[in-house]
Amino acid sequence: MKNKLYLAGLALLSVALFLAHWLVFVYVPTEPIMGVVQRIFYFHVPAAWLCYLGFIITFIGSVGYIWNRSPRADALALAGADIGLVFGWIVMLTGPLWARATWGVWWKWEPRLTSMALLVLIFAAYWVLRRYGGGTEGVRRFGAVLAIFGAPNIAFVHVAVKKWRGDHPGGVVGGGLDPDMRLAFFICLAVLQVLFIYLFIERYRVIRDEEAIGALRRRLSRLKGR
Amino acid sequence: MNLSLSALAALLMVSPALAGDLEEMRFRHLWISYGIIWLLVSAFTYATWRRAKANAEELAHLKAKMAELEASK
Amino acid sequence: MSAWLSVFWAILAKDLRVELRSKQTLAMMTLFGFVLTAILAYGLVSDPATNRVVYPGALWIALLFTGALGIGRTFAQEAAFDAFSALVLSPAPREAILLAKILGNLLLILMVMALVAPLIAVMLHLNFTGEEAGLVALHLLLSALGFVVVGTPLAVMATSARFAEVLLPLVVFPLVSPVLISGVKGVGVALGTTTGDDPWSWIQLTLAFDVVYGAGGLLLFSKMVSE
Repeated sequence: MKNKLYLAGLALLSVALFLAHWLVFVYVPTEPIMGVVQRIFYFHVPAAWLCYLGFIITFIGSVGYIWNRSPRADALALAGADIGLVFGWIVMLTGPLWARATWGVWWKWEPRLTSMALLVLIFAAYWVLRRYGGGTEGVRRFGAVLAIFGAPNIAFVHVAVKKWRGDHPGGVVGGGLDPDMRLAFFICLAVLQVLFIYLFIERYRVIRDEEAIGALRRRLSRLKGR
Repeated sequence: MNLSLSALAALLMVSPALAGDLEEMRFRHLWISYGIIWLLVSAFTYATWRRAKANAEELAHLKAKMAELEASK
Repeated sequence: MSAWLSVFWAILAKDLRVELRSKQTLAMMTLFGFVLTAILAYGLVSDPATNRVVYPGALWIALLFTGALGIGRTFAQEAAFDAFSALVLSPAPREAILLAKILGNLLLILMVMALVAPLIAVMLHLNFTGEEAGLVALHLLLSALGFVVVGTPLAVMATSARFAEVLLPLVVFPLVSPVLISGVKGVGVALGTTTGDDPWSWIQLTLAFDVVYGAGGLLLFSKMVSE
């Protein structure tokens, strides 16, 4: 029964993803100034939000881990960083593709872009640390401290680049969005949010299972040793 | 992996020469973007699914071993 | 409080005494600074106006790289004699340990940069007024402080990781990028190569970074290394 429900949910998610693509490629009107390339934004902006969300989860998990060394909090932090990075790379790759067709350059030293790039770099370092640094308790603590140090950093980078490029216009999306566009945007956001939750739960379970496997292995070798 | 990234970076550097008509570029970049999104999301989903499967097998295996060891005592 | 201070002084004095006697870290960092100076100079040397533009960037690259070398060796002495856990297990207040290590690292980096910064300027044929040189020095001091304040606690954490010598710069460099931006732009303003009229507002930004990360590191440190 549970398995059936799970499969039904997956099917529903696939249909929703298909619907989101239909909205992006068929339903919405083409933006008059930027042309079709503006359609990147229906997935790019939600991806940016989900990237932030993943890293916020990592931050919360890291604070929890530093506080009471709970393995749950650590798994939460690791899963958040994994998913946040996937969406972070999506943002970092699709953004320049849009910029090239709109601004004529791949990259601008603008506060939002720069702080995003730094955020992805910091959490990529976190990922490398957790992946290759060895799974000891000290490495987990190192990762947690890194995530906690990373959070105020984003604010500093933002301020610094704003000071440096004080004349740059703030918004890139534009305020007065067409109602059809807004509808499509919010539906895409909702669908991707559900995808995020699904992937996050799966990832969290995988990490917890791997911990359980490690514990079982240790117990087995102790039992055998006796 | 690194080789394909280098190829991509090289493509970015020379792309002013490649960029023809603006409208064409807009379409091209749109397709590439959604291609990237699909690639990354499906790669992540697949990797997670594969690890989940391997873990389930390993857990069952270890539990069976554990039960065997307990029974032999 | 007096116990706190005595721990702080004991560790700082021990580190400085060992360093001054053997000069191992200082010698390596200085030599590395010379090598970097040479690379940066022949990589960047150009007409006088351009040299002035690239100088702050070259300086902060040298700061980051020699600094990374320095913080990587923060606990080399303790690690060599397996004394780190003894230090942490002792009732010594951990904030005092961290502060002594931060100050030790800062002194090392400043000693090296006091040599490297004028050397790069000489290699790039630059002439500064006294005020310009003072602003460069102040910026360097505050940036170096920001660097050690972030790098030292992370260097402590890195002792337990594999590939620590690679991971540490990978982790620290993105974290200190506000210091990099602020230092490079601030010196650019001071030298008249970057638009902007006020080098002091950049100094304030670096100072804010130093205070936030210094206080944060000290507050969190006892949680970081408990048991």
